[in-house]
Amino acid sequence: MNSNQSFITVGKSPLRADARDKVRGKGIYIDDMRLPGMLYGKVLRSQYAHARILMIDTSEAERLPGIIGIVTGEELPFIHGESFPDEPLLARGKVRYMGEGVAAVAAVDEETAEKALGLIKVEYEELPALFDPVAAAAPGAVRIHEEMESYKGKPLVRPVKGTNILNHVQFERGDVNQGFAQADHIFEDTFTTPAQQHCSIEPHGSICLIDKDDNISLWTNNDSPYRCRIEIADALHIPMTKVRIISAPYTGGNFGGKGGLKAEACAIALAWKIRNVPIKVLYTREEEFCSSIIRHPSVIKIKTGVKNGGTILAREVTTYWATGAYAEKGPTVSRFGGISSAGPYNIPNVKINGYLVYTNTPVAGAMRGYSGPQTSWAYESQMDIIAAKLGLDPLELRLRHVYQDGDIHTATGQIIHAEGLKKCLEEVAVRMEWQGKTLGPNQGRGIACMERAVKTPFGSAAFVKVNEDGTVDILSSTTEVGQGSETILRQIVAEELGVPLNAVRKATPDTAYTPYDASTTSSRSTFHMGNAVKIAAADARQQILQLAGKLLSTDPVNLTLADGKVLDKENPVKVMPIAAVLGQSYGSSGTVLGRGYYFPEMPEGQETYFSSQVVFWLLGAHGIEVEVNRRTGEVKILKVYAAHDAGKAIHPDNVKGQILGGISMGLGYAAYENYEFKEGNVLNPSFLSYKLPTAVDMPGVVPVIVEQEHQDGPYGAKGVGETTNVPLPPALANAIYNAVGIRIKSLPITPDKVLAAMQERGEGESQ
Amino acid sequence: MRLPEFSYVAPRSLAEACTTLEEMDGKAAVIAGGTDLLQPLKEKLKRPHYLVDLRSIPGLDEISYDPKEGLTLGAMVSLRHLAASRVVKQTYPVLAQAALEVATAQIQAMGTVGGNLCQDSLCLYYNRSAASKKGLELCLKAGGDVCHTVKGSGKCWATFCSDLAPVFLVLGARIKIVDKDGERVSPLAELYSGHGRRPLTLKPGQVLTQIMVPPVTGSDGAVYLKLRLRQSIDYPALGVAAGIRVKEETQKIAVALTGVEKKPLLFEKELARDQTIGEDVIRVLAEQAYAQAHPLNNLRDFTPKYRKEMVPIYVRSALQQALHWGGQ
Ligand SMILES: Cc1cc2nc3c(=O)[nH]c(=O)nc-3n(C[C@H](O)[C@H](O)[C@H](O)COP(=O)(O)OP(=O)(O)OC[C@H]3O[C@@H](n4cnc5c(N)ncnc54)[C@H](O)[C@@H]3O)c2cc1C
Ligand code: SF4
Repeated sequence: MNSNQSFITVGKSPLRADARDKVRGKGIYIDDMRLPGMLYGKVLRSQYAHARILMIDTSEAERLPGIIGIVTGEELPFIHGESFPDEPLLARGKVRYMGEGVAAVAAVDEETAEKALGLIKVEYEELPALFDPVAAAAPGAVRIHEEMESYKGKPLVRPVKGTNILNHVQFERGDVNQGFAQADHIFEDTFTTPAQQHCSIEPHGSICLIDKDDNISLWTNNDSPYRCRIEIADALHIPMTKVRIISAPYTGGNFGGKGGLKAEACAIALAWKIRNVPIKVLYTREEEFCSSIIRHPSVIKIKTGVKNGGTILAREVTTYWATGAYAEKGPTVSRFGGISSAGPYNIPNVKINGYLVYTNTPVAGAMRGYSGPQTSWAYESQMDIIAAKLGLDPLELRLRHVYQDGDIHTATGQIIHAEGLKKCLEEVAVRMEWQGKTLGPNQGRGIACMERAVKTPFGSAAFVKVNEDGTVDILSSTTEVGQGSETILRQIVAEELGVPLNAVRKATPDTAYTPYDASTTSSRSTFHMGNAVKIAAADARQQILQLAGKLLSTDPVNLTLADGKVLDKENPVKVMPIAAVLGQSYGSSGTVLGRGYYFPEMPEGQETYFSSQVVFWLLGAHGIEVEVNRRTGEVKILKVYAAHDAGKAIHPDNVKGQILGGISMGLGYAAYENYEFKEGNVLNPSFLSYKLPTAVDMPGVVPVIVEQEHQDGPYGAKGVGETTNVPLPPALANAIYNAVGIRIKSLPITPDKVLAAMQERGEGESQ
Repeated sequence: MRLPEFSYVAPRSLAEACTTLEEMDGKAAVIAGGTDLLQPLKEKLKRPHYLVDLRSIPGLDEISYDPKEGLTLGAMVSLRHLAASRVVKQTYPVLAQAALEVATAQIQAMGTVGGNLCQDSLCLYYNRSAASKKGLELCLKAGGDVCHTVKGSGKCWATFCSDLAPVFLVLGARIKIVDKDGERVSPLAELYSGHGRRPLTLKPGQVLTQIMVPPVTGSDGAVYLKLRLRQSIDYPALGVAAGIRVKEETQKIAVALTGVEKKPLLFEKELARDQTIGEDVIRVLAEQAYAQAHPLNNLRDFTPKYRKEMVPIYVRSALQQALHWGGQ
């Protein structure tokens, strides 16, 4: 372990590599990129939630001056998807949600393209539509994908034939029925969660160029170039090496929303037809809300059997995930959700059923927390319901059941290293003076915690190129989406190689040059890519020391690298800058290339897709203090205490930033954001009507970084950013209960709901 | 989203503005700060061929106070100017406070007092682009035949949400309207038609130029309370202004509501000057307001039931605070 080691840059918080560019407006995003001869694409979108397309007439639009081409789904016999390909580039035969792309237009400018959309005529035959996942899952419900049985999903995706259920997730350990029989108390509750949008400041955008031999170049703000490449190649039935993905230098926010094919699909659809000219598609904010991706709305039924003293014996959880019109990341969201449905607790008998259900709503997929916000909303709310009924302290009930290091994780049966979770709970309790502090009238406090697996097993590769002048380039396909990975990878390389931080740069990902990376998702980059660049830097360091050893006629073991110079440990006068080592070794000059690849070690015989030994767990706990206005139902958040286990914070300010950002996102989910749907139509697709909390709505936050070093992490680090939003909603609901004794089971928790609940108990004051 | 094409007119005088507006016969719109007007233009909800900008006309952005005439505000005074004005803060601080409750700092910088009072009414079904309306039929306000808010009503129920209107109403403000035939002064309440489709009584060619608030007396008091989900950006889901105006013989207690009807609602009660304003008066006003507030499901935040329940609570609270400030 590294805990006693002193570091040069790891554990410090140097200025982020992207900060100056972004603050000065100099960062280059996809919208800033213009290629010679570039056309602009726009998409005509479905007016119906579920309808057969009878006819599309583009003739009038084609005659509009400035229109270069129009493409419809019929011309594109392709379907795509990460683990359950089911989505056409543009609708074919029928539309499955309002806002689905039906036809796309390429024109000399955006205005002309937009005008042409109005001239395309589409005739539909409306079909009955399904919006509620429970109704859609029922046998005999109208089928949204009649051809589901023919889709070729990955082995762990388990559709239920003849239904709208495209994945049935099951985990079972022990015998829940026996557990319930032995229990003194049975708790049964149903919780619901709404849709949520990522609201990245930058919308989806792509520029696609395809030549006559099907060579594809795609400039895009996708979060994961390699995953994007294979998805495109598979969809178009072409070798993946024909596809080149070039990341935009910066991406303005991701939160899971920029995976899969969104604007990419539209740009490819047009470029497949109109060859040899780059075509750009940039989503509008409205398209972001209606036609990109959302968090899965869910209905969660949770039943728990508890002994008199508070020992939890059994828990059964059944979840319906509304995945919208297409699978997208739904299969893995529901799988991760299944794994963690029972919470981070030792419960001997557990039974979990998750149903991922097609609905005629916008596509749901990856979003920060990736099932965590839904599952923890249910299990953490119910923990407090149990504590209240049995007169137990909610913190103590959690501490009694929470996983200890080396426990068996209930759903997966894997050994879990989760010591950090207990520490997070304890840290929060100490900061908020859980024992001892008295709150005022109508004030209350609540606590909640969470677990979520990182996606495993997936690899990351990196090159570290040491240049002639001693500067260093990291070639890695991790994308900088605002999370700060660029800076963290630079820190790790600077530390490992022994060069100053400002000598290290990170190249923009390009599948033609930067090596493989599974994805920039799941909070995996610091751990996986961090390990890869660390190995690559160590490799480069060895090579430099070897060269220097020859030049200095010393055994390389006597040499070390610091501040960009090779030093002889025994003879401090022997100092040689890296540039000199390279120059003298290679005649005029040369470069050194270090290689690194990281893939977590897997025990034998495990299913390999999304089910292997989880390489690390995301863990955290929030505590909240509130004051509730009994007359208006308004809830004032007095303070949020948030502890998250980072393993080791490579860049503590960045971890704090992730915690604060997560709190604002969690707060939005808890108390503000909601999709106003009317028969599949999004009524609030703008920042005025979709309620992201603003800066002035942010409560005071006490961020706490817990560092339970991970044995395999770079310097002990693991991921932390993805789930900093997760425990907030149940912590808030628990605090409100503690203050005024009402239990809200559906998000968001708005004043009207709180007041109505108080009135139901005969508590509220009204005229 | 982009603005559609239009011609831009910058008249040098009011007369020129009024003539141009009238000649264009409904095809022209006044633009002040543009914060209310431009979004519906982008959404292709309105398609004026001409925008007549009032900024080029001198003298419309002045604030003055005269002990006899009271406070006079030019229609083009920006909300930021209103909030920062010393004269306003000394005479009617409630106006400065209400200006700061509008939208955001950016919109306060661009938005004007006149534009705030003349803003269009709102509806979730209407205020969105044609593209996002999807299956929804064109509604009455957009030139169609149906209403999605109150089905089968044959009427538009779009909600009027100005923050300043209720405050000016309780202060007893009058407005000056100019057209090519001259000018007319009337109580502010007459600006509002009570129709969702067209909330204003202004005719093409008419421009609001001034808002006049009576002089302050020692024991006046007024407050504005705003219900909203977020502490910034949001329109009022309910706004309540309350004011006490003391005259020679009498005192007037006024309550005005915004965000719950097709126009701002005003409730007044006149008492003898020396009569104490007690619980009975407060109750009557709260009950009247409750009875006439008609919040609907066409704004985004809170259930209509909740917004209605908040009416008496806010009215009471506003009145009590106004009495407190008014020195009673
Ligand atoms: C995001 C957002 C949030 C908002 N939140 C609020 C809020 O919380 N509270 C609130 O009250 N408002 C809100 N508004 C509405 C509006 O922007 C402000 O009220 C602002 O004061 C309008 O002033 P303006 O000068 O920009 O008006 P403009 O947009 O220029 O004009 C508005 C309308 O009035 C007409 N008009 C303007 N001046 C005159 C005049 N002198 N004579 C005749 N007609 C005239 C115009 O033709 C137009 O129809 C919000 C707007 C936005 C975009
Ligand atoms: S109230 Fe009815 S008619 Fe008026 S804007 Fe809304 S939906 Fe349209």
